[in-house]
Formats: sequence, C-alpha cells, structure tokens
Amino acid sequence: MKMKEGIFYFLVLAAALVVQTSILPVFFSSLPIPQLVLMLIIAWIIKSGFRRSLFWVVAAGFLFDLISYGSVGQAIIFFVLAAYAADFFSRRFLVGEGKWGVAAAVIFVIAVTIAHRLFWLFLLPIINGGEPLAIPLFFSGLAGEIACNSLFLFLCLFIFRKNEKLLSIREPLTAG
Amino acid sequence: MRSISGRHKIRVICITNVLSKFLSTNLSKVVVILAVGGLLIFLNPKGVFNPLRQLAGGFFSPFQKVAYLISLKAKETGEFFSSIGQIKKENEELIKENQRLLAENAMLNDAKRRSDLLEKELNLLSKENFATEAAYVIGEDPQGTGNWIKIDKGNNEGIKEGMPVVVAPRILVGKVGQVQRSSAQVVLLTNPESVAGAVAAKSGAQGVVQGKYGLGMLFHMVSQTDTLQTGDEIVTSGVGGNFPRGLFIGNISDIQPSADRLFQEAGVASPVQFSKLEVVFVIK
Repeated sequence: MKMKEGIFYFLVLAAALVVQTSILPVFFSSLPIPQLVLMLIIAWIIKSGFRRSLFWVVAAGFLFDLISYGSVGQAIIFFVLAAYAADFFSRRFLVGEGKWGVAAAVIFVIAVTIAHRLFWLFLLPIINGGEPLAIPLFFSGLAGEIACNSLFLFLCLFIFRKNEKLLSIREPLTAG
Repeated sequence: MRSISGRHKIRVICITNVLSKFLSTNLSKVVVILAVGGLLIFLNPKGVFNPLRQLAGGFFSPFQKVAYLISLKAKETGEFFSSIGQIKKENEELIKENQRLLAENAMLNDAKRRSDLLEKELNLLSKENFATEAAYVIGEDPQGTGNWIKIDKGNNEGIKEGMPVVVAPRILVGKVGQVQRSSAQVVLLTNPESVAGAVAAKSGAQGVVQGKYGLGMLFHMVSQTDTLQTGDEIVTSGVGGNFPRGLFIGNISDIQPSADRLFQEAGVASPVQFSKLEVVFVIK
C-alpha cells in the first residue's frame, strides 16, 4: 500500500513538474503563470497533514529547483513555509470541506499566490543583487492567476480523493 | 553537595524535556528545514548540485520535449481557429509587405555585394561562416518572467556556456547559460542579467541592450550627442566579446532620456516572440 502510494505520488509530482516547466509557460506566455506544483503541495497537506507530506514537500522543492535552474534550496524554503501555513490554516478552517471550506481554500490561495509573487519576483531578485519587479506589474494578472491556482488546488484534491478510493483495500463481504 | 548535583540533574532533565517537546513539533521541523535550505543555497555557487542537475535533466528532458511540442502545436491550432477572420486581412497586408520587401531586397543585394567586397578587404568575420547547432526548445521559466528557455542540446553536442543563440535569420535571442549532458539553459535577452554590446545600425550610436523581466529590452548608455530614431535597427556591436558583431536584436520602439539625464535610452522591440520559440540555433 505504502509502496503503491509512493509510486503514485512520485508520478503525480513528476507530471506536475513537466506541466509547470513545459506546458503552462506556453499557454500563459505573459507574467501570471499558475503554480501547479505549489497547489499540489497544498493539496497534499490538506489531504494527509504536515507530518505525512513533509517528505514530498521537500522532494518537490528540491526537484523544482533542479529542473528550473534555480538555486537549490529556495523552492524548498518557500514550499515548506507554504506547507506549514496550509497545515495551520486547514486544521482551523477545514479547507476544502463544505461551503465554508471552499471559501477558506480560496482565501488561502489568494494569500499564498501573493506570497509566492512577493518571494519570487520581489524578494529573490533583491537577495540576488538585481532589481525587483515594478509594483504595477506585480499586480498584473493576479486575479487570473488566483482563479487558475484555485482550479488546480481543487483538481489536485479531487485526484487525491479518487486515488484514495482506488488504493483502498476493500473489506471482504460477509454473509448475514 | 548532593542537593546541588540533584538540582543540576533536574535542570538538565527539564531542558531535555523542553527540547524534545519542541523538536517533536511541526514548527521545529520547519526551522530545521529552513536552516538546511539556507545552507544549500550557499552551496550552489560551488557547483555541488551540478551532477544532480544533470541527472534530473536527463530524466525530465524527454518528457519536457514531448510536452512542450504538443502544447505549442495545441496552442497554435487554437489560435488558428480563433483568428481565422484576421487571417484574410493579414494576408492582404503581407502581400503588400512582400512587394515592398522584394524591392528592398534587390537594393540590399547590391549593398551586400559591395559590403562583401569591403569585408574581404578588411578581413572581418564573415557572417555566413557561423557554425550552428539546431536545437528544440523543451522548457521555459516556470515563474513567467521570460528569463530563460531550455533546449535539447548540451555537452554531448559541444554546447558551451556563453555561446550566442539565434533564430533564423541571425536574430539574437540570448546566450547559453548552464549546460547539462543533453540539455542546456538559454538566458534570453529579456533577462535583466543579460547584457549585450549593441549599436544602432543607421546612426552608429553605441550602447548596451539589457532585458526587463520578459517585458522587452532597453537600449541604454547611449551618449546624448548620438541620434536615435524610432524604428532604427539595433544590432550587436561585438564589444565585450559576448556576441559576434552584426546579429540583429530588434527595432527602437520609444526613446527617452535616462533617469540621470546623462544618457539616452530606448525600448527595443524584438521581432521574435520569445514565448513561441520552437527551434533555435546555437552559434559555436
């Protein structure tokens, strides 16, 4: 079961990384590229909790840095912080469960999308000695990115729920 | 004496308890990972992760290549169907443009013949002698800043860091960054870290072209005494040695004085859509 789950998670992560680096930039050629890998991590946290998902969060950050030519460590740091915040938030507001859960999830996606932009387009360029992105551009296409990110989050949650059913061991039927 | 050592033991036990309680919390794990992540960032300039990058590149590149090509074709098909009405209008404009270019081409052929003669005499590098390696684009900057693309050629094909990358016909798009065995990063001209010595073809005004986060390029450090005009062609000057002279970069779109008013600067519009690159050529 664990082995099966591990293989499934690795395949999902690898597919998300390929989509993030080779498909999404083609369809979102201007600035706001939705963050599928980040949403996948948040879905992991909502579904399995911080402790059980930590390994996959770190693995996702590490692989993301390796194939996106970033400094190894920066995505790990952001993903772990986002995962901790997602865990904190989901335990209190039941993200993704029911009407209020959906609203809470969208609020969380808004916060994490803004944090992601702050980290990658504002903070990292300053740390690397470059110029950060201009403020008006910082907000361009934010609504579209939030919408796509929310869609990705619910898609990941849906896939995980389906997978849970697929991998679960059925109880044998007993007569009487 | 005994009571002092007993108190000491109790203190040690208390501290150990508090520590073990803290280490079992999620927050402590986050703190540890942040510290390790910070340490990893410092190890990057030493190239510690290059072998792992090679490995990851080798694993993901084939999938990225297929995914990129399929999505590019899908996007093109979508755009074709959505813009079928515009095509007729564009076609008429292109016929007119073609006629104008034919006339211009005849004029340029004559100019080229004379330029070839001069080039021969001056023993300059002939632009036709570039050895190029064609490569497919297989990935792009996932942050959307248009800083780089990934190509499917690397060390195995003799690609080296710093080599200029062009699209036909000799339009500069960037230079090779990190190189793996079978893939390489191309740092685009729109990357703020990308700098190329450039010259305005008409007036001979010298300056530097620098990227603006995938939003275009800036031709700056141009002397106030030089004349710049909208539409002027900007080509590489060969100054600095990064790029050979004469590669086309783009046309001047707008001109303004620099912030300190010591120089002039101008926006440069490239004829290339960096987000739609499919095949590029690396100049060896």
